[in-house]
Amino acid sequence: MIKNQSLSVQHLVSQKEGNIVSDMDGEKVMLSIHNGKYYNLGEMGGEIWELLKEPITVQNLIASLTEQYDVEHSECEEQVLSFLTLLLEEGIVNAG
Amino acid sequence: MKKVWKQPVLEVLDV
Repeated sequence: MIKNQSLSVQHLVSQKEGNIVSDMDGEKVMLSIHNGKYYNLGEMGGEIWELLKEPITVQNLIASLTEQYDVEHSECEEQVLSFLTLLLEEGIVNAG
Repeated sequence: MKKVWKQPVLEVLDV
C-alpha cells in the first residue's frame, strides 16, 4: 500500500471491494459501505472506474484513455493522477 | 473519431 502523495504512473490501481455502484443518466454513482459516503464519479470518472475492474498500471490506464479520447498525454496524466489520488484518499481504490 | 475528453471529477454527495 502506498501513501496518497506518492501515486505515480508506475503504480497498480484497482477497485476496492465493498462499493455499490449504479448508473444514473450516464454518470456513475457509488455508495461506499466502508465509510457510508455517496459519491458521484461523473461520466469520465465512471469510464475510469470501469477500467479499474482489474488491476492496471496508471500508465496503461492513461494509454487506454488517450487512445479513446481527444486529449494530450500530459493533460490526461495530470488529471487522472489527481482523480486517482482523490479515490485513494477516500479509500475506494487500492494502489500499490 | 476520438471522443471528447472531460476532466474527471469526484463529487462527494451530502446525504
